[in-house]
Amino acid sequence: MSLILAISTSSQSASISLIKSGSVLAEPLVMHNNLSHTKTLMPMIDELFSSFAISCNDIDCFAVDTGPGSFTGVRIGVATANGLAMGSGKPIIGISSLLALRYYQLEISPVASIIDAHNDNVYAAIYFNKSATLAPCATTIHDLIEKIPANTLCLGDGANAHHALISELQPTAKFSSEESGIIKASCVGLAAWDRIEDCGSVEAASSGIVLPTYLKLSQAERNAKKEE
Amino acid sequence: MKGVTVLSEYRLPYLQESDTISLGRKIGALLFPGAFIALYGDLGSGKTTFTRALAAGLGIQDNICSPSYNIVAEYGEGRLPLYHFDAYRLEDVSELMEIGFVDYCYGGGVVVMEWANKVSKALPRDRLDIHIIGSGTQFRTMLFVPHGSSYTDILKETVI
Repeated sequence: MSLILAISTSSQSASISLIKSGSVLAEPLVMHNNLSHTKTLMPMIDELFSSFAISCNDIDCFAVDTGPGSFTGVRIGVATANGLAMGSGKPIIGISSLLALRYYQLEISPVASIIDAHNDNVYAAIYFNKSATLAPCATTIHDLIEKIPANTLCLGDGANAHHALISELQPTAKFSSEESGIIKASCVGLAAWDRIEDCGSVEAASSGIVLPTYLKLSQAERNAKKEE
Repeated sequence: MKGVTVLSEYRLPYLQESDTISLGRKIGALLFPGAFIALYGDLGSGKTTFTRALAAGLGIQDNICSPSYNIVAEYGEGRLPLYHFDAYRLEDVSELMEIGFVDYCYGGGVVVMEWANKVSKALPRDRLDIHIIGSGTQFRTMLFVPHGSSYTDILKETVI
């Protein structure tokens, strides 16, 4: 068990990554509007396979970013990954975008993964080492800031969008100087690798099919429920 | 308050098709990224004709048809992307969510939705409601209800 193909399309970027024994071999990445991932994802995978002279049969495990993030983006990645895994009879592991963000700077703790959900809503989780001290949730940015401990590194497009507010209410919060508004497939793959190591085997870590990560209802659905 | 006009709705009666098309083009030319137009009116009232005019205002020459079966059609060659929705066949807000409605609203383009009354709970707070009253060869009355100052501004430059 050594070769993982990881896919991430939940954010503004589409990326894939080939991970061998916990090391990143390649990570093609395209930045664009998330409504176009359908056109770029399969050609990207095709090209990666060609350049390494491999096929799905050489992949030991697939890993995919299950969101939260763009509704359509998540489903494009998850459907593609499930299809490839099922078609080639290989296992698949789902990693949330919040956990993948955390892997951006694994050596730092605590880390708050914050993904923008519009109208001052965010998807968020807070990690200390690899454990979540705040489990993935959908909340308002104000409610989240109250839960951010001192000296937390804030990552994600939600952290970027609310940079000023976070700095004002939690002055010790830190931000990455590198662009962290996107989710990287290499982080998804490395998180999957760690899960395999922690579970002891790829069979224990994976499932036959992966579903998108649902965190509470969207604003409109919540409003609809309120009026019912 | 002296000198301050608060526009809650604006009614334009006795419109011929050429008038509604002209209005559509003018409004289309002023739409901005994230704009949302909700269209209301019976079958044959001219919602799609009006959408075609909005599209022309955005520089889209494509033939616009009502996407009753696909729910949404995308037009990318204009000044801004146009996402044309037809909610006629939707029974539930969740059906709208399932096709990534939120992504379209934040896709940096313009959303125009026919039969918006079918999914009124899902409509964004800021939007322009346009009701088209009349059908067949009758004159049309158009009722504009802006929700948000951006839309009031557009109406001030086009309709008023």
